[in-house]
Amino acid sequence: MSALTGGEPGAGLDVSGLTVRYGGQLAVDNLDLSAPMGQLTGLIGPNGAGKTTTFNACSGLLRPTSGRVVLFGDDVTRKGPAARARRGLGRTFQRMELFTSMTVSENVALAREARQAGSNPLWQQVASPRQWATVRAATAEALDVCGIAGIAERIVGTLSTGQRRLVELARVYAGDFRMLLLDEPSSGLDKAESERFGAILRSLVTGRGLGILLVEHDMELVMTVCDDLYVLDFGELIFHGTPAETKASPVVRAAYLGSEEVMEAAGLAEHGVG
Amino acid sequence: MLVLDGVTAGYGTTGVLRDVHLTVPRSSVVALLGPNGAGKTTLLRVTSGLLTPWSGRVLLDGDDVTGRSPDALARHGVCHVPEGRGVFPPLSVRENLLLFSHPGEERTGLERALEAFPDLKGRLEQAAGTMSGGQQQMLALARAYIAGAKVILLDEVSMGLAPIIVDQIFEFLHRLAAEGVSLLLVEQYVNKALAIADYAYILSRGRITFAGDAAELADEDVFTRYLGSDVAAGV
Amino acid sequence: MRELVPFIVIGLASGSLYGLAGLGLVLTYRTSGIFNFAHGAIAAAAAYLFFTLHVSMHWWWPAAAVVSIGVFGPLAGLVMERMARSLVSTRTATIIVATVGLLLFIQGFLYWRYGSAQKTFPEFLPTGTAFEITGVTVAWAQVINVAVGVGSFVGLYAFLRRTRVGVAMRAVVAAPDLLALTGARPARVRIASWVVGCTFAALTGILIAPTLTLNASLLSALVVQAFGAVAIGLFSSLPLTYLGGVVIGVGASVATRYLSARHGLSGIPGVVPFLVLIAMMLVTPARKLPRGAGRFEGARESGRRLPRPVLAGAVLLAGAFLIAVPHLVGPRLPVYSTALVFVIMFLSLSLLTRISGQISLAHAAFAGVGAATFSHFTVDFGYPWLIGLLATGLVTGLVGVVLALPAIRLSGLYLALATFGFGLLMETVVFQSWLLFGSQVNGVSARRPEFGPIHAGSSVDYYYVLLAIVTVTCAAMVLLRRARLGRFLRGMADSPTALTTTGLGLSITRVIVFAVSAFFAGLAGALFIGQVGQVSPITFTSYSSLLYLAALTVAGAVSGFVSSAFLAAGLLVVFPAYLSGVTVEVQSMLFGGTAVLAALVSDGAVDWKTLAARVAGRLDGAIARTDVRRRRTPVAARNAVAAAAARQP
Repeated sequence: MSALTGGEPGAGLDVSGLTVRYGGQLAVDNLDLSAPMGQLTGLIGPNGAGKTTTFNACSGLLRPTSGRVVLFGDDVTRKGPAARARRGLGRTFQRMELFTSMTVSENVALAREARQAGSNPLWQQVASPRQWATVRAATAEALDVCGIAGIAERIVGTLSTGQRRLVELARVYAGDFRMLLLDEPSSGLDKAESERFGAILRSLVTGRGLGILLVEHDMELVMTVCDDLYVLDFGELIFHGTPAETKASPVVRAAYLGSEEVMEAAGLAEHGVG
Repeated sequence: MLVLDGVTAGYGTTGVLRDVHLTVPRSSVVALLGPNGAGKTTLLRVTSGLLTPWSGRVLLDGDDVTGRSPDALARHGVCHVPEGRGVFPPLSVRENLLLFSHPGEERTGLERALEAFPDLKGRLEQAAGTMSGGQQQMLALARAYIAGAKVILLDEVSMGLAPIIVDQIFEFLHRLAAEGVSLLLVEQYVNKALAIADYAYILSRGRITFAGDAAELADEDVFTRYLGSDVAAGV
Repeated sequence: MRELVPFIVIGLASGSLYGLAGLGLVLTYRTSGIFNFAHGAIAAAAAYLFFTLHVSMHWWWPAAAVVSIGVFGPLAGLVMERMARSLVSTRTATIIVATVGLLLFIQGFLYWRYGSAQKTFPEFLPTGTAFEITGVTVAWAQVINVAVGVGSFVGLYAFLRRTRVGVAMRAVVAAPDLLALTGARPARVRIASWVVGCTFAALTGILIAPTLTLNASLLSALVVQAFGAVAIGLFSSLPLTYLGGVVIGVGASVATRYLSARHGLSGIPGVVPFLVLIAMMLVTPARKLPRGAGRFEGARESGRRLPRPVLAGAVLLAGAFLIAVPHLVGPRLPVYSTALVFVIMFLSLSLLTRISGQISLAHAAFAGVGAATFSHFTVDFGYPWLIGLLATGLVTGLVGVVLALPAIRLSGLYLALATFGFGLLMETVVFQSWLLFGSQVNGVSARRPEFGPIHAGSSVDYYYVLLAIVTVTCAAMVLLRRARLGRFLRGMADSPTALTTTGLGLSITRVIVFAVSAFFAGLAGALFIGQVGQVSPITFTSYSSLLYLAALTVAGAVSGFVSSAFLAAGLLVVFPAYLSGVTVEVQSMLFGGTAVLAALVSDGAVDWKTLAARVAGRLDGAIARTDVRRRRTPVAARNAVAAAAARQP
């Protein structure tokens, strides 16, 4: 279950002592978290626990009050989102950030193109034939893997939520990111779509050796696909363990159900794990 | 009595609620449970008029109030305390209470609120947003109290609050219910909600998957339902 | 120090009024989310109304004041609220264009109705000496201006704190949904704030007119002073806004004392508000600025394309027409040449607004820089025509890079305001410097090209030169849009966040697009001289920039990227040449009014389907009234339709 690929020690995403404060409010409090390569790490917790805030701090959209974000062994705490992306960190968004006026294949291709162009004024304007060949191959592969090759020429704005989720996933796939942060990728999907989604995620991790950090409300999906779970509540890490351990944990149960009778809940726990 | 009759609703082209039937009888407490993202908040928004359903009806004491504006519904006795804090953060406590009172009854409104929540007395000139989460929630609940609402919709009132404050809030809700007000409660503290509820509904992916007596559900393991019944059974 | 006192007195009197205008602007912006570019135009309209009643119709001035402040102000507020309500959920750019369109409409109307000659506005307030301070006499009118400013500020401040409606106005800023849930009607609260805001505008207009002489554009520009004040108040604080107005008034007045006699710097006092505006936009962290109404951009293009054969046919037909123009239009050829220049201008603007989701209210300034630079290169330095043209493009491209600086930090309204300030700064100060137009009133001139069979003296030859350049520009734009840069630009319009989190350095992208756009706008400016022979800086005002944006919006509502540039040029340049009545004023009204309509219609602000359903519902109701059994409410009808739709597989 531990880092199978990635090579260097501490590979993947390591967050230490992460603290984010909005005004007076503590959104994330001294969080330590590690998402190694070749593994699906889940980040769960009740509403308002600080999951998306953690993602924004990891991807560079938000500067943490304190703490470090280490990506593949390098400290990227002071780097902007684009620089982190170029190092191989990709992400999706709960509210989906898509190029709605463009086609599915343009959306997917653009991620790879953005990585190639970076901040280079020349490559932002034109693609070299070799770059373009890479983009086309990556796009075709991503569309295929995510099962959306059939709608490649549709305008994204006309798609259903489920299809859009897959487009966003195909985009991080085509972008050749090694570490993916997925923010509630299954919300708005129906059960069948959600199951297929889970299968794709597993294949990315086991087949391609990517690292994935997943925020997800669909507990069923989380419990099926994740190797390792972190549970946040009020911005604090309250539990870390395997899905089975998490299900059995009275602390987690209390966080979700608000029971103060922790002992009683612990008694019921066996029931849940089965 | 509040009735949702076959409500289907969503945002843009994305459907959230599908054919929801739900009843809140007079002077009873109904708990609305379900995993995050199931559509609980949307259901409350439809009920209070913030969102017009695509189809279906909302009935208040037998009148079809579907599509009425939220302010009209508020004047008809629907009080929705939205998720987060139902207060105006930059306004002082006094100004918040001014807006919560019926026009012309600002003074009595203030008095009644302070009677119910004496903690607010020393903070009348403080900006609501600078108070603690618990105090803000008390202020929000004061609206439900002084507006003289018939139906109160509460969205995660206990979110982010210390357990002792949560207890106080539930005690207050219990008192409201005893006075004959109907409560529709969206709550993550399932056990606490079920403890004061008469009826319970579970909403999952926009559909009602359980409807019945709260007591019935209290015996079951709701957590298992949240995790997804198949999984829990299978593991 | 002593010699400064009279300047401070004048500055306090005018600054207090700027502050008053700023208060109205902040109030309406914060409660509705709509920033009203037409705020000054409403002030101007009130002043003209007062002028008509008091001077032309000989009303007693207090009566005229009551009507133009107490009646006109609230009426304008009601109209504005209705418009704001329709705009509130549209795109940010649409909101900007709509209120800019209203500004153009009102200004055009006032010019059309009253002529552009300056009128002396009567000093209706007592001008006698109120008191003396260190030997400086202070007039009653000045005292009254300050008193009204301070009084309005204090009154508004108390109103917002002491009354239920006032408190609700602050509440609607904080949480409009929650306000509705308490039973208050947010719409009524917004109406109240627009009424107050527009009444403040009317009051400002009437008080300030005697010091400015009556001129529609001067008064509309009053809003710029208010912009500066509002920027100092960070678009939210009333006390700081009022104070900002006073600081700007005093600052400008004192600057007059020191700089008016100095050549080249005499424009500075007038630009104090723009300098303040630009500075605030450049230094204020974006997160400190309140978010206005409006959805985030999203590209305009629907992705619908004409079938290839139809497109090819249309292009061929248009091409054939353009080639034949010199043989068809006779003496009107210059009109068509000018229109071609404008096609380049509009393509350049469209690249920013339509493709990239950026906005520029300073496009005429680029053209102005282009014109002056081209003249220097070809006339003063003797560069060959084509070299001079390309060098001009490069220079304006660099100016575009400067304008990209705010674009890196800001978007939407705040970018629009920064570019607007930039345009005003160019127009009032930089154009007068020796680098550009110098102080010559007649402006600059340049040669036409002369090579091979092309003769500088032939208008027909120049037309074909322009046509060739337009063709090249169109091709360049189409290629650019399809190339990688174009994809990035369209992506940037849809979701900058998605691009930056996939690795693109967006600052570079923004710099590039502003540079490219400015390059082409500069070419348009340069080519314009060849067409008209001599141009002066007054051709390239911020007012023109607004007009261009409005014209492009109108055209863009019904046509594509390239075709909209041709259509806009046709509407702006060719159309008036065939209708004798279409003067600049009428054009301003037409484009302004149509831009407002286009903004309301094109972007779903007024949803025709809902409107049609509502009308149908009304009709239904009317019919049902004759047949009580069949009465259905519109809502029920809509639900029935929705339910039927939902049942379909």
